[in-house]
Amino acid sequence: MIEQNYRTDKMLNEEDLKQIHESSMDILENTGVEVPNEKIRDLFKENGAEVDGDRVCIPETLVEESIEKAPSEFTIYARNSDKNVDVGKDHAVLAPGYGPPYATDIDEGRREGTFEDYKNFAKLASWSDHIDVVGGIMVEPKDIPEKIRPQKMVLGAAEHSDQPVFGTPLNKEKAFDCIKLASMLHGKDLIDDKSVLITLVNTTSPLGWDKNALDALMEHAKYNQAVVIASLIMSGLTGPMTIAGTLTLQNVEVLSGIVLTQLINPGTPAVYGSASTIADMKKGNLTVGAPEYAKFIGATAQIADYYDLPSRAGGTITDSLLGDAQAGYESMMSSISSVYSGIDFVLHSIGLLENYMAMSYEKFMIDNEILGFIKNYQEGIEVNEDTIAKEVISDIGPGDNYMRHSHTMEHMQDFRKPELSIRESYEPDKEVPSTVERANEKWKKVLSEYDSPKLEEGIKEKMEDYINDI
Amino acid sequence: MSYLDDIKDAISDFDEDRGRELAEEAVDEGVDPLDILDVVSEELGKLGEKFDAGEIFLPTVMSAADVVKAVMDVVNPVIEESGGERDSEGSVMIATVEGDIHDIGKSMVASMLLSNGYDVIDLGRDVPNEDFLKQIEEKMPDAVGMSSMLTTTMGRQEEIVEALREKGLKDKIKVIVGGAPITQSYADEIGADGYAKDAIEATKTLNKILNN
Repeated sequence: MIEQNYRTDKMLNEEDLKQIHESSMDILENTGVEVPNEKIRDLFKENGAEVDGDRVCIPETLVEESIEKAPSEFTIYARNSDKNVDVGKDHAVLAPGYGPPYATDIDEGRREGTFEDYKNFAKLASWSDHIDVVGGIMVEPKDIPEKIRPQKMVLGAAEHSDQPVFGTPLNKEKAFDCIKLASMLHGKDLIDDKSVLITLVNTTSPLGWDKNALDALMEHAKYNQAVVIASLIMSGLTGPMTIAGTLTLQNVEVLSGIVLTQLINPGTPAVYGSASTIADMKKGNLTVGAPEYAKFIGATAQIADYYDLPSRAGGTITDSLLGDAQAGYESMMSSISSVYSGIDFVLHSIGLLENYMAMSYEKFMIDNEILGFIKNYQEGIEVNEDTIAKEVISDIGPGDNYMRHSHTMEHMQDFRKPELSIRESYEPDKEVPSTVERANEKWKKVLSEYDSPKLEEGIKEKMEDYINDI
Repeated sequence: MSYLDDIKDAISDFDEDRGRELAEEAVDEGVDPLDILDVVSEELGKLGEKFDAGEIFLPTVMSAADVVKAVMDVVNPVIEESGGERDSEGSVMIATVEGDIHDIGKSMVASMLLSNGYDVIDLGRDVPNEDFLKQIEEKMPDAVGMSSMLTTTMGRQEEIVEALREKGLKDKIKVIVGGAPITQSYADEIGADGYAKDAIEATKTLNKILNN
């Protein structure tokens, strides 16, 4: 978690926001979105939406009433209550990378993810001082059968972390199983009065919904479990070739999902999410390391604020295929933008390479350092009589130095110590390992020393039994 | 200016209507339809090279391909009617597999194949294995193309290949696969004949595996 004490300048002004809002309302009401689920279409209809075939047109009044019901902040409960997380306050809640099919490290190279990799990343995420929520598809464990993969991921995360769980709601049944398993972590059969997990449901751009995504969303709302509703629009491919147009399309899609959560169960925690960005129009590739993506992040924070909803966007992400300088500068830019613009929930905060395709052990350690830098910056400057040190300055006077002063001794541990970066000076005969090599050494050390927080007696067995019965 | 030059211009102006009109006029005026086909495929080839070199943007290629397709729709029936050997590269049945609704990549591939002279049967997205196989058996295309965007739907590609093997069709029909999580090694592993990372490469790969 990183406190957000210093926010960057606004990417959009009041007039910009108003234009995006008004255009979105117009599109929601007159063009509508495609909803491939009859039950949901009926629900929309009962509440005043126009339904024609699969198309649902939502009037502005219904949008406004629904947004009113959605909480502007909420808590996700952890099995260790010290680790409960508030979303929507003045801090960025951080979750690891989500979705990569591949794991990679510089010893073994890129390969399909396994459950072993998954558990390793659960340990590393739990070890990190910055990551607040553990789970989701940190890497796809391809050695686990699809039928029980999301369920095993909840167990794999919960065994090695006592933080709130991120679910993987691929359809109705899997969403329910994840909620059920997260409830077991709290010693309960099925929790529906508070969020014990958070999960991600995406729209299908442009202006559509996938039936499995809708089922999963309904399941989460039904049990009052937090859900991030997000669009991943690629400007020029699945959205207009402009940032403003893509933000508008995204607004329409995400608001349609937020309205739906509130129609199913008013008060369901719903996060206004975005992963929209530009595509590289030369080849049509998704692009997350571009400066334009940082603009999407800032604008999304503002648009979510406009509706008084918690926001999700950004991450510590890059288009780079390896842990090189590009990976570093792009990740720092997206990470800074996410925290400084006031995004409440930052998925993909650690570990990813090649947009969302690979989870890298070394990049994980590099991102942890990036997050440490940003956290330190956000802590700001302490200004008081002691830190201004007027008397110390007078004591030392001109010409001398401050090294031996008691004030120096008192404060010399105040500054952040780098965990990965080096600050040594050049020595001709000494070989300097690269950042990636140092990161490689570091993750191995962390994993070898990591102690998983014990699960209460019997809980693991109960979860395993449940999964075995699926 | 000849009709052939004008058709080239219509391609570079992305003017689908003009391309169609010019092709109709050219055919009426007795221009050899095969010459028209040569011109459009040459133009498309040039654009493909520029795309590979990163000199032009994807929408340029896609828009040009639409004009080429419009011209071919006029010219091909004329060649067939006159009993001539239409220059089809082969037939391809293409789909985004069951459970997957991501079809932008698949549609790009379909469009590029069409404009490169393939007969394309596009089954759309989220196509159940059963329907897919039924269509394959009915139409017996030269090749089948499958796309998956999700790791959870990749398995459908393997299932289709396996079903083709069981039905004894695997040697008769070539299989080409693609999609974000798909790699050459996955294609090899499931026994697909080819893999392509994008629409331009899909055409090249298919040309290769069908010996065109």
